[in-house]
Amino acid sequence: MVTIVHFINQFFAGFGGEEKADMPVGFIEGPKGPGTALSQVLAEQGRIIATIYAGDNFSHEHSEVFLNEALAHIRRLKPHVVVAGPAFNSGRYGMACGMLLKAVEDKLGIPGVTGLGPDNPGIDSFRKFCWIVPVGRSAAGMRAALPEMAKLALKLGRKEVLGPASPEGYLPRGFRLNVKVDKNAAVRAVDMALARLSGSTWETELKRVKFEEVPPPAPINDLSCATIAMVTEGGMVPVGNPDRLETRNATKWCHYPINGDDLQQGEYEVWHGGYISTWVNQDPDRNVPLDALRSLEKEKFIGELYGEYLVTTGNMTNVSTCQNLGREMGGYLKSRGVTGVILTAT
Amino acid sequence: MRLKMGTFHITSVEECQKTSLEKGVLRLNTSELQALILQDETILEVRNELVYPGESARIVHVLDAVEPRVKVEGPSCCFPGFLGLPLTAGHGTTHRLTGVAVLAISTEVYKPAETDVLSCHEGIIEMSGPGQDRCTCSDTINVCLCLRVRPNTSSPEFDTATRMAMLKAADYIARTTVNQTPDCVEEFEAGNADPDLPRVVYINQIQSQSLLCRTYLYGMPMEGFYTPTLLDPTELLDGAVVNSNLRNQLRACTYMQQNNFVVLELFKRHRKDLNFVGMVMSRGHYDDNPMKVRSGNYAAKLAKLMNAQAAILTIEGTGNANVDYMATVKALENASIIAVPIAHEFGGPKGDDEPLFEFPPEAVSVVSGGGVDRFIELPAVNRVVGGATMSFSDASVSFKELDPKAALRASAHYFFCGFRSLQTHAFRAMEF
Repeated sequence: MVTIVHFINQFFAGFGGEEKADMPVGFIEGPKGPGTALSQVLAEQGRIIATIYAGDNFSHEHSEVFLNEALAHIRRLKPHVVVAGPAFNSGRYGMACGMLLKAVEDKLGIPGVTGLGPDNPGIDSFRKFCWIVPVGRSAAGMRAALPEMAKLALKLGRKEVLGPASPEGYLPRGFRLNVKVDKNAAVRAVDMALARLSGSTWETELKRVKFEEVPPPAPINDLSCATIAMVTEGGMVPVGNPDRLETRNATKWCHYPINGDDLQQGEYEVWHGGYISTWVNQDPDRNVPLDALRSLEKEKFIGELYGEYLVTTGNMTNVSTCQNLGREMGGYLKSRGVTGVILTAT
Repeated sequence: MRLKMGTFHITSVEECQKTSLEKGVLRLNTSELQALILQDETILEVRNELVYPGESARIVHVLDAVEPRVKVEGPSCCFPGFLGLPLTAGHGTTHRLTGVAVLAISTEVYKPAETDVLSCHEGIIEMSGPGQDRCTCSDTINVCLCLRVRPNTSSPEFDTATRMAMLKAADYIARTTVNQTPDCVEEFEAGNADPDLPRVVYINQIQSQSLLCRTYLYGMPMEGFYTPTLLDPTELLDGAVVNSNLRNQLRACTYMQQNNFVVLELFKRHRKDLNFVGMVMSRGHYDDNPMKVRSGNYAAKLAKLMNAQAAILTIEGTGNANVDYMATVKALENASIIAVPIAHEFGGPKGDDEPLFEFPPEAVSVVSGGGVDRFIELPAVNRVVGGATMSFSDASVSFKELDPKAALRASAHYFFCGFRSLQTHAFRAMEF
């Protein structure tokens, strides 16, 4: 039998509404409030061994105390799973459920299930950290919510590995994982095309993501005083690739000093799995334009050329890795007084 | 154009004094086959190895794979442009041997003699276990041609010699079927269907950047194509498209083009659920945005000229090619043609990052081809074919030479045709 600790707020614990929202953490043996109905749904398969409650204001204004005390109870009770709520659209309650379940998972390694309404801010804050069952906006949805929450709690309590969000009935936690289905991609593509043509129902398997907008920076006021650096994702490194820059899925960037007025053929080479490097290997300035920038420096068109170039490989790299590399490179150059960058892409 | 395809199913391959085919048993005189391959002076050595599905075996250093086919009636040959003049393929009668594939393998890790080509990516074939459905040609009896080229062979010579060895071997094997009656005969003909059936076109976007990262159409490198072109899908089944892309994970090898899963599915439902009107061959990885937009619009225009109402799309390539791919989707939808692209997803090992790098609002009906960055565990194997080391060019195993027999933690990036194989084996990514 799966043992469960249930968390609810002061209202569902039967102490009162807003006037009781400052109630500290409390503890009751067995089920209480919605826990009684939940117990009936669980039947012989699961048992609520205790109920923890707290006031909606208390859990926020004294979140550290709230978490410490609730966690102390749960640590002592060692349930298989923690259930919180359902909190429907109640914001503070939903946030408290999420906060607690995240802490329970992080600190005690015990999984947790809650039920939140479509407008609950707890969804955005905690969907990555706990199992959220989508429920109605108000307590009128209690009857529909409890069986779904019970089903998930029992599976988690038995340490079953959960499948994809949609059939399992939880809100996606932000991961896309591979699943083997009945039909190959060609069959599903033809099905989808024919469904769209005939006007019957269809659903895309990949919803559009919106990318971060990168606003162009303000122009440099006076180039003749600017320090300009050269940065590339073209994978051009000193011969032999001393720092083992990857040819794809790069996890790092490198920086190399520049000497003279021209990068010499044979001293540099391209390690990049994504473009034809013939012309750059013939003349490395085609990727890192040292010759051109040196003449601009001599003409005083730019103030100074920074004494290193920065390089990574832009090939099959994930967006978040790219963002990190960019952030690191930007910070590095900024701390060295660089005011502008010539970024060459391949 | 009507193509008759006679199938001979192979259940066993044996070495023998005389090359022949009888009741599903292919007997091979390997000395004769090797002599044929060694006619090319670039090839220093060829060794034959047979590998069966279900074996605890891993094949490394694969250059390409092909299904043996031969033209028995008609003006062309299989692989026109390579084994004969580039006369129009896709009609007449062709014989194919199923259940068997010919693999070209370079026994030494191929390091280009010049530094002017794209890096080659290892792509393994697992003949059993959890990796078997992550790659292609893991369910065929593989006639492996383990090739060694002369020292100082240039990249163009390497490319030509290894491919010709494979195509000649496939042709040699397929010739055993001439004058024999196939197990079954299928007929393929696009178009010519009930006018009320929905008209569907297939847009096959390939990759062709340069030598060793290339697709050939009738023997001609496709990076010379600046606009998409029209093909009868039967031409594809008849070997008009040959793949030579050593970025092994993201390619659709020649075997996969001969058995293109979208073409076969559309033919299966042709004249029943839909009218398969034809195929557009396009390429990705154009150098700049106007070129990508032009290519996408051109593909959509060709589809429109065929009166297509819907298009199924596949891609070979990654981020750069994805921009061309989505430009095509956009142009199709703007031309009121329903576009259903099959897309392999990135998103990192955990699957928590962006799945695609380009995703216009017009792409409303996307089929997931699975996440290519997710890892699985492969057990150690008893037998390795193709070489004594393997090496993958990504961060987790940066340039380390690995024991090819050892257990391996692998994503689709590690497999031969790994990206496309997730699609053909019915994997998709779902939200968790």
